[in-house]
This record gives sequence, structure tokens and C-alpha cells, in this order.
Amino acid sequence: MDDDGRELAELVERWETGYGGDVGSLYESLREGMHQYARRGIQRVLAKPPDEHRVSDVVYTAFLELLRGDPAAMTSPVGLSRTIAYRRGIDEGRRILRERQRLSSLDALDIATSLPDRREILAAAEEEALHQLVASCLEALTTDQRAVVRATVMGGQTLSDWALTVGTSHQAVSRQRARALEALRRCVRRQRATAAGKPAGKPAGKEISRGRRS
Amino acid sequence: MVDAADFDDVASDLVDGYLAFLRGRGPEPDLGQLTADQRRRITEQFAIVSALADRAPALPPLEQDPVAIRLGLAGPAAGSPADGANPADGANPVEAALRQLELRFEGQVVLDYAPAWRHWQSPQMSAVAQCSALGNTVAVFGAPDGLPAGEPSGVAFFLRYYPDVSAVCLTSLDALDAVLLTAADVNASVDPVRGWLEPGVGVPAGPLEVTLGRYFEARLPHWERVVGLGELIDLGDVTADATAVATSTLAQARRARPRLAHRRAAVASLKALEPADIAGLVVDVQAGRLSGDALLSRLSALSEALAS
Repeated sequence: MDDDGRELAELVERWETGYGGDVGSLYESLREGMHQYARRGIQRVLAKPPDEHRVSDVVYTAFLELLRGDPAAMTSPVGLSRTIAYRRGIDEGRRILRERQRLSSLDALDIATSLPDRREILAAAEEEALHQLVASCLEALTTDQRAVVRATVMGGQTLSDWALTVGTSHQAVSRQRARALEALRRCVRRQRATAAGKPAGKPAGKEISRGRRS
Repeated sequence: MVDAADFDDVASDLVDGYLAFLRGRGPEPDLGQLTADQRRRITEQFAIVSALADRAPALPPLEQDPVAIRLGLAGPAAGSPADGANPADGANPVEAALRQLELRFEGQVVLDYAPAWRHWQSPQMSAVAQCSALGNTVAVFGAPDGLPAGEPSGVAFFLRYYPDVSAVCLTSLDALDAVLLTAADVNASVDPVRGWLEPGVGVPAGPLEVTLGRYFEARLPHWERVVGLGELIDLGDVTADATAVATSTLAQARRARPRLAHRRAAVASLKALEPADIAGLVVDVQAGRLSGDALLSRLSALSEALAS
């Protein structure tokens, strides 16, 4: 586990035993993932990039909800914080749709009342662990590969937009991204195999999960 | 089955499809045409894509993070975290939330701590401030005994007594729970499925700043969304188009045959309205000669002329 991962684990452990007012450190550690999942939740409903004010509203509400929970009863605070942010993001997306369609808010937001299940929380936590591996692997890509991944995967640009930006063809950037993702995949497998004490060429004991489903 | 030579192209299309799926723009891609090994590789790539997607835009430093500021972890209220906030500390959470609202809307929402209704007394509500923006006025009240389960009877009476107030926002003293009630929310209503509903049913509670932010966000115009569209601002003379649109819209409104008397009166008053008057307004706004209060005054004068 790298330094960031160790710090996060220590922080979560502190929080589970009563965070003692260290809300700032907790928020700082969780904020990136919560913003990611809040954006994803809103986009899931609206099918377009959300206004960042709305994302902030969702993260704020979700973080307060997390603080109100009982740390000792939580499977994974990292996973739970993301799952709450995702659900509140969906709520926010539905609320925006209702406002646009001038529908009343009478029918209760059913998803807001349902609690995330353990499987969902663990998948979100696993994705955070995977992100830490991928973040270190990103540095090993070429500058162009990193740029295409940042623009078209982490950001919202299409391959055609990016091809126009860098003055090349759609096919060229498409292949460049495919090679970048394949390089990331191999890097992650190597790191997992090393962590599990197995030769890098053989499959790691734990397969990479498919990530979030809904 | 996909040839190894074509796999890169197929994988790129599948990744695009998976990104669209994550963002609510399409179904989950079908991997049925791939071999088992290809399917394993692309599934691992999907997990990486999912971990990376929507990480942009990059977050600001913690000191400028809007959420951290609201939580009292950064900015002027730093040191008084939201969960331990107490109005007696001097950093009143309700006032802090209202200040953040003012900052968020860059002065479009105006706060008034001495509104005309400040002496309103109710056992469940104590006056705090008035938030106004473009004809929307929200009276903010503190609820010292916590938020009531339904609609406090005083709200409906207050809204009838002060018709200029568009909505009432009731907040807990720590600003973490607030509900916003419009005149529609404080009256019994009919739901097609559930029948008659009590006032205040289904109004969700949320933090004060979020509740007020949502209200004003939905009502204030989003000029920034069109500010980059230079071609829309510089269209040349739009008089003919504006007149044509005003004529057809007015004709459509006049064709309505409402049954309620007050609606019939409203349709009848439209007979005195000339399409050229509306077109003139549109042209003046488009040319930048009319905006803000002047626009509201002109619309108000037009309405009063019709009503008289």
C-alpha cells in the first residue's frame, strides 16, 4: 500500500473509533471520490455533465449524512461515502428533472430512503483502491497517452473533440487511447500480482471487478 | 468473434459505450461477440475506466472548496465545524449559511435582516431574514423547537398576510435542516394516485443553504449558459421574427376557452394586447437597451394597462 493508501486507512480507523472532531481530515480524504460519485449520480439521470454547484450541494448533503451515521456499524466508510454521494446525486438529478417538467415533489424520492447494501458499498471501496493503483500507473504512460485518457475518460470530451484539439484523426486518438488503457490494465495486474507475492506474468488471485453497476 | 487485429478498434468503441453507460446515455455494452480472453481484458479495462471517469474537473484546494467552506473547515467560519455549530458561539450557522448563499449567487440574492414582516410572532417561528432575487422573496424563519412534522399553520396565514413573499423557509438553528414552503405547499392538494394530501406532505428537508440554493437556482436566469453564444447576441434586426412569434403566440392564447371566470377575464384582457408591443420588448432586450428593473417596470406597465 502506498503512503496515500496508508494515510487513508489510518484515518478511517481513527474515524471508526470516534473521529474526535477531525472532520477536516476525513473530508479531505473522501472529497475526491465523493465528488466523482455525485457527478456520476446526477449524470446518470440527466445524461449530461452537471452544474458544479449542484455537485457541491450533493457532496455537502452526503457528507453530513455520513457524519450522522454510526461509524462502528459501517462496513467501509470510503465505500459508504461514495455510495451515499451517488444516491444523493441520483436524487438531485431526479429533482432537477421534476423542476424542468414542472412536476410536484409529491411522490417521495424512493431511492433516498433505501439504504445502500453491503455489496454496493464494498464495490465502491474496491474502486477507490483500484483508483489508487491506476493513479500511480498513469504516470508511466507517455504524455500523449496520459492526455487522451485525462480528456476523454476523466473529462467529458469525445474522441472526435480531442482529435480536433490535437490536430489528428479520430482513428489515431482512438488507437492511442486503446493502447493507453491496455497499458494501464497490465500495470494494474502487475501491481496486484506483486502485492499478492505472485510472478507478474500470472494472473493475480483476485480478479478486477467490473466496477459499479446499477 | 472479433479478430485479434480488429480488437483495438472494437475495444475503443466498447469503452466509448461503457462511458456513455456510466453517464446515463446508453445501455451497458454487449460483450457477446468477444472471446473469453478478450472479454476478460475489456472487463478489466472497464473497471479502470469506471475508477477514472468523472474525476474532472479537478477540485480546488481545500481552502477554496465550497463544501469545506460550508462545513466550516475553510473560509471565515473555519474552526466551527457544522456538527458542533452553536448560535451562541458568535458564528451563527444560519447567518453563515445565508452569507454563503449571497456569495454563491454573486449578489443576485439580496439579504435583508430588517424586513417589513420582522415583528411577526409565532410560537413555532422566529424571524431571521428575507432573501430576494428578481421578484422571488423568501422569508427565513428559525424554528427554535425543531422543524414541525407537517406544515405549521402559521405559514399559510403568513403567506396570505404578506402576498409579496413567495415562500417561507423554516430552518433549525444549526442550519442543517430546513424546509421551504410555497403557497402551494401549505394548502391541501389532490394527487391523482393518492387522493387528498395534507399541507406540507412530501416537502423534503435539507441543509439551509442547499434548500435555498435549489429554490433560487431554479428561478434565476442562467445567463452564463448563453454568454458564449455570440451569434445569438448579434442577430441584426429581429423585429420581423419577434412580431411573427408574438402574433402566433398571442393568437394561440386568445383561442383558449377556459371555464373558470378569472381565466376567461384574463383571456379577454389579451384582446387589448398588440403583438407589436411584445415584439418591441423583445427587440429592446435583444439590443441590450432593456434589462433588470427597467424590464420589470415595462412588463408591469404593460400588464397594468391590460388590466385597466
